[in-house]
Amino acid sequence: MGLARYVLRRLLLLVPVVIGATLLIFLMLHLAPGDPARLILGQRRASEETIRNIRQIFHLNEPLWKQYLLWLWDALHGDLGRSFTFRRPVTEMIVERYPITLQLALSGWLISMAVGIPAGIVSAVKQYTKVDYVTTIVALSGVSMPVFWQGIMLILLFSYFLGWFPSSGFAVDGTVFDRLHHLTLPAIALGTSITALTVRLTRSAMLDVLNQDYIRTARSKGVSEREIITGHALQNAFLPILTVLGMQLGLLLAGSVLTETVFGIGGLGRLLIRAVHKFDYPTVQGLTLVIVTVMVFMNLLVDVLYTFINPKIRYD
Amino acid sequence: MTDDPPLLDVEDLTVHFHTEQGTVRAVDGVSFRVGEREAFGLVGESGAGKSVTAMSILKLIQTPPGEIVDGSVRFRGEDVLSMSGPELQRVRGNEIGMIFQDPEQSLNPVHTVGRQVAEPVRIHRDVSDEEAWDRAVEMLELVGIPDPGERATEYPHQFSGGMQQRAMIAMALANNPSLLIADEPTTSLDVTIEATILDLIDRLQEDHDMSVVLITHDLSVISEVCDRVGVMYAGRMAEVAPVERIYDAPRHPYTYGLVNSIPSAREKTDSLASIEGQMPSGIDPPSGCRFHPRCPAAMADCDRHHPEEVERDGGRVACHLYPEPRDEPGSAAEVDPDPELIGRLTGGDDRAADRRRGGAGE
Amino acid sequence: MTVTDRERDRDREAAEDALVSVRGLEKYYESNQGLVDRLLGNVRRVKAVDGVSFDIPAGQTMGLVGESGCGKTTLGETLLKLHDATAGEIYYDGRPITDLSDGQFRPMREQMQMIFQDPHSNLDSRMVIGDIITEPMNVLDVGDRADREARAKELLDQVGLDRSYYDRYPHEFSGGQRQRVGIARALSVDPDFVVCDEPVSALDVSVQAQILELLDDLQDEYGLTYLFISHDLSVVRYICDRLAVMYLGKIVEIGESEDVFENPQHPYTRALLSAVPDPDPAVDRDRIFLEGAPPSPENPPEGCRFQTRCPEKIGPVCEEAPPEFYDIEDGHHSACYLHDEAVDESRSEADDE
Repeated sequence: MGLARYVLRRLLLLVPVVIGATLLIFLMLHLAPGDPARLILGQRRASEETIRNIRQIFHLNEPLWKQYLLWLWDALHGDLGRSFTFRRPVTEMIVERYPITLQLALSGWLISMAVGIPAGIVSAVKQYTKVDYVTTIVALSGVSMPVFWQGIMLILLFSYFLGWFPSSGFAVDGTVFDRLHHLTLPAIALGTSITALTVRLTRSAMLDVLNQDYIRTARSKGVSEREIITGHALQNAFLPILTVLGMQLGLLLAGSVLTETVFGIGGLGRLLIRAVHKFDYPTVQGLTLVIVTVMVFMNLLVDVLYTFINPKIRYD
Repeated sequence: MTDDPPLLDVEDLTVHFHTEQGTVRAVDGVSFRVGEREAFGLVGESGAGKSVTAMSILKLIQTPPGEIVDGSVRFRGEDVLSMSGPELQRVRGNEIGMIFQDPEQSLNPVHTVGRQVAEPVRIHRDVSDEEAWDRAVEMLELVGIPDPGERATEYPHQFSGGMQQRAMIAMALANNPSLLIADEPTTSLDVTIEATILDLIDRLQEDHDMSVVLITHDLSVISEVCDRVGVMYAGRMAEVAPVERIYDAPRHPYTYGLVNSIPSAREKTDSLASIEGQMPSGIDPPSGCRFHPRCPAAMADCDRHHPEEVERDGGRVACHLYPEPRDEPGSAAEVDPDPELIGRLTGGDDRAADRRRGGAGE
Repeated sequence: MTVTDRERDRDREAAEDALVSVRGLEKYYESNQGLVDRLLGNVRRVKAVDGVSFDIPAGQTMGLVGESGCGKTTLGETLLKLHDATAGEIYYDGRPITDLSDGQFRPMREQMQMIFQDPHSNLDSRMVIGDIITEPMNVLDVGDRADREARAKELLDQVGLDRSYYDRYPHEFSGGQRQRVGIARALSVDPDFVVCDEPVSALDVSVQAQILELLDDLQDEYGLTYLFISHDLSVVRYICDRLAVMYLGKIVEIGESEDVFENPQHPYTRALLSAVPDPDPAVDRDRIFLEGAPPSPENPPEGCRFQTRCPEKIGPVCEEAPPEFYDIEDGHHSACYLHDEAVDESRSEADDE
């Protein structure tokens, strides 16, 4: 079976990609100036012996390649090491925070799809009409509005003035309603920040397809304009849209630093920022592994979906 | 002649394209008629307006930038150009079928061939999906696709170019239309494949009592299939006549040039007559007769007035060499043009004339 | 069938007389060049040109016809060393050039030029006509600036364009005019040999006639030798002295152009010629229709390449080994077992039974 073999091949390819990316981050962190042992100890004054001990525990005396292999070996067993700053296992922190990022990313992404794709289609079908111009202007202003500013405006309006939604935090253990209540504003902020791209992309993909010869053929057969869009154009236009949607979701799943910061949500994005600030390289390293893996899997998923939409692609 | 209207009656068709550079007068007052069971060819070089004319018959011109400014296209007496959306959809793919130049681009890549051939049946007839599919398989068999039941489930990219064009023909003819419009149907195909496709069109036309409008830049393709031919130049009809007449005894100077510039694969051609210069742009076409800047027989009047079409030798021609017969007593109905001017058209190397003389010298 | 020494000598003589000679030329492409595919051994070979030999006498035009995918363009490009040949030898003026390095071949570039099919895409739209024409002279370091400009203007004249076009851009010109620019460019370094790859295919017939006449005139004036690649047999018959018919990477028939047209021998040539549409509606159309589409050059049939579609297929002999050339008349060869008396006799015996 062609598809199964293809997926297997892609999974094999994942190994060098993940190793390459983590190795790169590993080297960057370790070649940066500063003594990790002192960083681990932080501001505290420590005796030479304590430092030696720390070096021992964190394998800092080993050559770099061995340190990397040790890390890799542990990572394969689900152990991403201990965070210097948070003094907790990195795996534990990621497992704890991932659901938050996942919920935020998915809801933002769904909002962007639900708004962006229909708007793009309408804009393409009604090219050069008022509808098209208005959509274009709204989409362009969406692109040019920074997400933090937009987030602050949402907070000002809906939580400060109207008081409809909480301004920050995330109800991890709350009821479904509670969680949705907290999620609404950040999801909208995150969603609109990428919707503009979805609209423009859908519009140009649809315009491209509507100018194809096979659309003319459909017209010459007596297919109605409505069915030309739903029956002939959409499936073709979806190919380029799918690629970008997949990439968007991949990026969102890596954590949305700005949105999480503005709304005070403890997701992966904020964790990453803090870890980088503190030079907490086990955490950075662990997050890199997660991010790269998620991105590669998203790409694979998109490519597999392609086979179902486009019969021309055969993985043999 | 009966009073029945001809199957297709295109009158004074005028189509403009509004571009950034200006208005392109792609088609400018073109008229022709196609009778029942007739194969009519439209020939011309790029920029002649022949494809635009073909698209206009089914009102397939993209608007904007295109605009059908004037004229009428009557199919069985009904004006297609004034039809609304649903009315048009009833004619398209039902009474008039159409095939295009590039079959690969003209088939939807994400639908199976069977689904695409069945689609017009599903739209225009009150049938179940299974019946439509069966009809599609039947049509694929008719156009000579081996193992049609199996091939119908395949996608266009799994077909060769020739097979794709056969599938297009199956699709266009699925509802037994009375008119097939074929726009450069063999231009993108290899010559051995071209021969089989032209043969197929020819055969189906006879078997199905169908009329054909064949658009091509290649006079040879017209000669394979058509009874009558219209020669277009720069958006206007230069000459309409039976195919034999066009080839053996062209009347319009442009037709002379066209016929004499085609080399033959059946005999060695020693020298080719070419037409100096090139087709003018549709934005700023020459005044008067559009061919006059390239015409070896141009006269004083040619840049001033557009020549009217006159009946001549079983056809119609628009050229000042053939003035309209005047209703004055004593004037001859048809005046033959000055032989010296005709001589200039051919530069003494008139293969058409040689043929007319029946190859007496050989 | 073995080639005797005498035949080989004769062959060498023919090669020495010719300006361009090709012996057993092969050009294979590899598809699927990805890392994983290589590791898994999934590399596919496309035999674009597969053992081709011919000579082009100086001052003549050799036509190369065939349908899309038969390898004619690859052959033309390999001749000019735009690709490295996989095997075989190319002789230019008696000198083997296949193994020359770029540096060694550089001085010969002047003598071998190419005219391309699509006049719309092969001229750099950001360069003025003058720069386009002088470019080969700049690259090959011919003359000084003033010489080059003078030469370019002279060429504009010769290809029927106005000298004032020197400073204008390609987009201002029609297809026919651009093709004239392409011709002027190829001629700027005074070549002896020009590969014309479908030079009139993108042009309208009336303009096509102008360009064909121009190519003809330039040949007379400069004593040029052409390889004229085309799918259009009418054009080929008009312009060519010799003709080679290609099918799926191999030449199936070769000879004086008129001999091939008047007396086609290979079943493929016959089918091809019979398929050409004719402008004369009165002409007797005796068509040989071919079944199916040409097989993929990735996976060509065993034996004769044409056997899967051949209307005159003899039998198993066609599937065993590719046929050699058989002499039809002087300089006219066809690669088909129909011409083999032994095969023919055994067949008629079989018929008699």
